[in-house]
Amino acid sequence: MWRRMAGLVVVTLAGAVVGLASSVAISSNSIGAATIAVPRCTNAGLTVLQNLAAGTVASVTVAGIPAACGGGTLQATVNNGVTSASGSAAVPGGGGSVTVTFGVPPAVTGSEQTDAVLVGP
Amino acid sequence: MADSTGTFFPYGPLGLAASRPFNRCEAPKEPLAAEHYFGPSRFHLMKRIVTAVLGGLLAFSAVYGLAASLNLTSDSLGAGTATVAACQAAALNATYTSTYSAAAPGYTVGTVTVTGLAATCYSKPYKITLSGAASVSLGEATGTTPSSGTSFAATFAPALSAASVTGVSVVISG
Repeated sequence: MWRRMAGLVVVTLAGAVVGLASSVAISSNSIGAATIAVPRCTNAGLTVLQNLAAGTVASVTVAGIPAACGGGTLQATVNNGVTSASGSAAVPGGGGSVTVTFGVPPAVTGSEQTDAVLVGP
Repeated sequence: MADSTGTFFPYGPLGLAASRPFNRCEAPKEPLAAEHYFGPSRFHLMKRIVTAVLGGLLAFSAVYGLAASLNLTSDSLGAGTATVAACQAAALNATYTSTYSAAAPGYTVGTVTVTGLAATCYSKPYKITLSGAASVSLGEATGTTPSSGTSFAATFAPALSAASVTGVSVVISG
């Protein structure tokens, strides 16, 4: 019996050696990646109204903001082709309208471009 | 088997007892069979041993014969498996800093701030890609995460049109 046991041990060890010979030690650093869509709080059209004062664009009122944009920040800029003025205001929780007042109002010209962006929530 | 006095002892080779003692002056009438020489039980034992030895020799000679008949070489082959894990399981959140650009013209994204960073992701290389329609890359910012704190900011140069950004991808490795 002990001879059979010894034989089994020898065979087992031989198999283990073969397994080690064909294996490669490998380790790995971490890697994590993700992609996510940048959501829009609304795709609806918004109303933009320039509020004029003394030949300048004193402020811009953006209306029609849905509640989904509530808590975000509205940034608006008016560019008259010569200079531009920017400002921002918080959007109420329920949405609605927001008025952005400029510190240095740009002069009214033949055409002004108004850009707005909603950041967050 | 005999000693110096010529006295025969009833032992055969290997000291095994013979089944029938005989006198050296008496020639055996017939050749002694191995069974007579060693006795029935020891004869069978010897028979098994000889059979086993012959079988082993036959087997090994067959193996050596095969080894000599093939010329076989082998490239090396090694394999291993390791788990690739992310440095943290908690969610990261990307926020955007938009700036008006008269050159664009319009609002652009120049900085993406990632919050929710865990200590396990400190001091590791990162890439942040902002993508647009059809997942086309608009720009990429690279850097190394800080060694402390829970947020870091990635700068995009040039800044990207905010209206065009529809997706953000982040990878942290190392």
